[in-house]
Amino acid sequence: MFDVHEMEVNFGPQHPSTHGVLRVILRIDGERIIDAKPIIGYLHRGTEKLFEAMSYPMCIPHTDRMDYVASATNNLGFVETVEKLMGITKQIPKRAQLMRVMLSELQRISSHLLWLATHAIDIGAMTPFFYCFREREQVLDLFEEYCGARLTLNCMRIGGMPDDLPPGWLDGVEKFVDKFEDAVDEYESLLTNNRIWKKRTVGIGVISPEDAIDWGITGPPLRGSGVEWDLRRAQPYECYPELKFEIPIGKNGDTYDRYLVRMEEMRQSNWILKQCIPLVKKTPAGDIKAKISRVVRPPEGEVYHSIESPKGELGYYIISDGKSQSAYRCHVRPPSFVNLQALPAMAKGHLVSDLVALIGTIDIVLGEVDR
Amino acid sequence: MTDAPQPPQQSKPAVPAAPAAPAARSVEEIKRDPLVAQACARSGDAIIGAKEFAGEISLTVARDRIADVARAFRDDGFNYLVDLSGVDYSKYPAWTGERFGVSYTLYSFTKNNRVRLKVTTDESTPIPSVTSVWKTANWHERETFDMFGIVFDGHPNLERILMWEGFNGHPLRKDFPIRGIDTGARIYPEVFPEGGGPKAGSTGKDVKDVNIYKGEWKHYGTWPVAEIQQRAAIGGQPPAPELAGVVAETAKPTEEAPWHDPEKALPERMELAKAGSLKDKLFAAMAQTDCTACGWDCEGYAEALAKGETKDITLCVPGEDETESMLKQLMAGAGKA
Amino acid sequence: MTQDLLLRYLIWPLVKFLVAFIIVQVIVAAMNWVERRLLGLMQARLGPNRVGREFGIPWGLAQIVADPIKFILKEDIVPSSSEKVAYFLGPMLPLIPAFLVFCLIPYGPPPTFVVTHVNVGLLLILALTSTGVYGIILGGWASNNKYSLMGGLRSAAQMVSYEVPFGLSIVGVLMLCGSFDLVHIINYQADHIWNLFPQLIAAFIFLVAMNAENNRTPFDLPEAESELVAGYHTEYSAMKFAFFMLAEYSSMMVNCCLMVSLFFGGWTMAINGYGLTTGVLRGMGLLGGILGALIFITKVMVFMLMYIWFRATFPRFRFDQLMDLGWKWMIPLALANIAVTAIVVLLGDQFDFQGEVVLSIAGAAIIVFTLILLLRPRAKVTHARRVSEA
Repeated sequence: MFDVHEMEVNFGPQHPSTHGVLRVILRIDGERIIDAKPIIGYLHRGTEKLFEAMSYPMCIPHTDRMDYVASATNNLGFVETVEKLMGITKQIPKRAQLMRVMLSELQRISSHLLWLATHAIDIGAMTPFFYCFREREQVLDLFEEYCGARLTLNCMRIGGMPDDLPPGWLDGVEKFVDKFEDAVDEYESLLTNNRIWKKRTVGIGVISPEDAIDWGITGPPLRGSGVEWDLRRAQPYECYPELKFEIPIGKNGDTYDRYLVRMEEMRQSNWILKQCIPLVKKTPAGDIKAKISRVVRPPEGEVYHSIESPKGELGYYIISDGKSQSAYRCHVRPPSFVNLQALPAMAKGHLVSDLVALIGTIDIVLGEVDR
Repeated sequence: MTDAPQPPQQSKPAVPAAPAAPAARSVEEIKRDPLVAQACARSGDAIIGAKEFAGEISLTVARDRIADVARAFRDDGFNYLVDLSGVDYSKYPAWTGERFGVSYTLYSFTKNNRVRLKVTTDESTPIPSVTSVWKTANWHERETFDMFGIVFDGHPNLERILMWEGFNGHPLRKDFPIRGIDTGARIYPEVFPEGGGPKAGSTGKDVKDVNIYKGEWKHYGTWPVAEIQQRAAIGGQPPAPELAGVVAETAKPTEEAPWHDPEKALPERMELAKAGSLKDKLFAAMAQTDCTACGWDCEGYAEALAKGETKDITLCVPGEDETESMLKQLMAGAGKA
Repeated sequence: MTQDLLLRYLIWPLVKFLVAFIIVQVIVAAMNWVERRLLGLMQARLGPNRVGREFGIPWGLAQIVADPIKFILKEDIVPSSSEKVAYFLGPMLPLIPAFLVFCLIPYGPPPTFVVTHVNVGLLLILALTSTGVYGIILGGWASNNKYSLMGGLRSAAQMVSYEVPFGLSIVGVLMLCGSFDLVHIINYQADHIWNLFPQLIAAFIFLVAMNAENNRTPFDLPEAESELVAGYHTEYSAMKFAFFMLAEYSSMMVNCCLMVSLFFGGWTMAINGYGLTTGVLRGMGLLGGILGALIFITKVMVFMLMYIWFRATFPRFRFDQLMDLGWKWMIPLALANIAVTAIVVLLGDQFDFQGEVVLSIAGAAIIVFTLILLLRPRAKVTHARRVSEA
């Protein structure tokens, strides 16, 4: 009796809240989403193809460009996979391991800060955006002090780290870590108990634990659905077994829970950093590289290794033919790519405004989705 | 904040990334591994091979049975498909099997471990889709189809995902040029002919939709001429920084230069060259890859340094700062710095 | 005689309107700078602080001039597939009523500072401001852009919905004061008490509704930049865009003036007839008039700053939630307020007590109670547990 007048809207690729060049073709009835179809690939650079033509150490800077807001974790995933392939995982010196952990936890904080900033401004809260960038700037300063780069760090090497910590770096981290807890409180005071924020996020994009696993969702979205699974705990790498931290999980699997999980993860990362500082001070300075050959030529074989990147399980699947110095095939399992897949299922039946919140809550980086 | 209670997964630590065990297990032994035993038993003869490397189990599965095997593994607790990726084996050394392989990495939350299933196929034979087993396989299979042209039978929506509709080719195939093909970008009109690129409304089914560039690529950018001439005058070749890191065939230890081995670490090489002349010591300090990025091979560069033909000690790119500091030390010791 | 009439009904009102209009427009232009600087202050950044430094103008104040110049000089892009007439009408329609109402607002003690003394002034203002929505719908539709259309439709639905509580909230004030004449309402407040206290609920509804009327945060859905790019003015550029902005800020100003006149005593600063009432200000001559106008402008600015404060604090509502709030909460609340006010006033007449006093005490009690609730010390939540134990 009532004729539904559907409208087809191109959401992106040039749109303020698609976090890059995501395009979603929406079929909407009024403002209600009947169907959402993500179109990706606008940022495809053929990174995997490039990996096949480069020696392993040359690949590391290219991993930076995938998840460009969390490049340290990308580096970590790649070098660890190559180390696993070469069987030298156990030879990495303690100091290098701690430095890797510190850098990746700082990266987690900076990535989550960027997520919070954009997520909040998508939902219309303008101020957290600037507050988050204020702290993120301090993290980037720390990165700059360590490796000279702020965004694409290229800060890890196969077998260790490129450089020792610059003098005074740990003090800088300590200063940041001491203040950061209060900064998170500040963001939370603006959002967590805000009625409008809750109205916009509670019950939006609910995904059950079973569905989440079926869709292959990892990282904060999976934990937001109540699955206590974190690769740092489940399959520990580097020196994570020695560090104390909690895995925050949500209950309802909605946008609000994912928000809470990420906020808590920032605190946990902060806590890990606090534990790392005295441990690093105990290790001998300069002991940052394993004694391995200059030439990286792993034996024939194939490995899959993954780490907990800020966005989820970041995995590398490398096949080596044992003859050349470059990977025969290097496949990246990007968390955003897989998590984004669940967007249509999450968005169905919600309003256009919620789609914006959902894209924010999945926390995608198109550089990683498209590679 | 208090000490968090350890989650149940902690009880079983991760499999350490050790090199393959000295006595490799046989296929039957691997299939009896408690991790996969149950699922293997249920799949029966569909599993036609098994391999173990770095603590990871790879099972080769008969192509037609992959969906059933996947379901058996899912029912056995491997309810999370971590990754699905294709491989083009056409350039793999001494490869005799079918051209393409597809790897399925599965994870079990209860066992906290991963298993890899592998199937192979040729250019035309489709592989049964596993989208009915795991929803997440959808985009993975689309990506594999896009990148390799491997067709998945029973996939609900098998279309390109990263490349655009109408793109001609499958980029991750080994015969696809790494420089890419003409996509119609009009950045260099003198290189690309008129009318290249995908056309509006193209379906990708017609070969004429996309104009593939078949000519030679022009080289854009010039060498620093003065530098090349200067180097040519002292006997080396022009520098080629893009060569850095490549190991030449000549990089093998010889009678007179036992240190000429890229697999050896620097202290070891210096130990071998301890008794030699300055040139030998300099030679041993190089990266030993003979990559010619500096303009010479490793021996030539050492000789040039020893004879004073060049004073630049920063040219050894693969040797990084390690080589540089050793060279500096040696040159200072010889009074040439 | 004719000359006298002409002077009284045309020349003087026109001069007064022009003076008031120019002052108000300068404030509106300056509001842009104030908003950006104040937002900067709240958001740990600077805001525009450069323009004019070469000429010795401090704090980037020349931004106030630079912005209009930029708007005038920019290219005016008209989408080729737009509905031309409607596209041109779009920015003008909201602007005209927004400017017109400035001649109905009493800025200071009459007669000098009142442009036109209309005895149904309030009604006329409401009628004029509600026509502003046509321009937004037309502009959104004429742009031939789906986002603009959605923005225009959202805006239409929102403005029409909030027009109702906006109007209903005023009824209580009318019942107490017994007049549509703003001068009378203000004088009444000076002789009794600010309507804020007896009509607290109405004042609250008015505040919310005026935010929604002006498409300001948290009700800025029509131009929600993260959802609809820029809503109804996506396709507008240069001066046409500036017209929309000017209309928005002008109607913000109008609403603040109304808020001050209806609930905060206008230009007076008096309670129960003591203090700076209209009579006292008049007795001080021109100086009193200027003082009254200053008091009025100061009060208005407080509410203008409140808009900015809201913008820095709140996230945005979703469309259905906005409608829920309007129809399910604001309108019933406004109706209840009317009923309670009517009953108390009638009872007061019947049993010979001042109903207004009763309402004022109730209003003051609510304010005190809210303040206690807001300022009570709260235990710090341990966040880790909240998620893990969930």
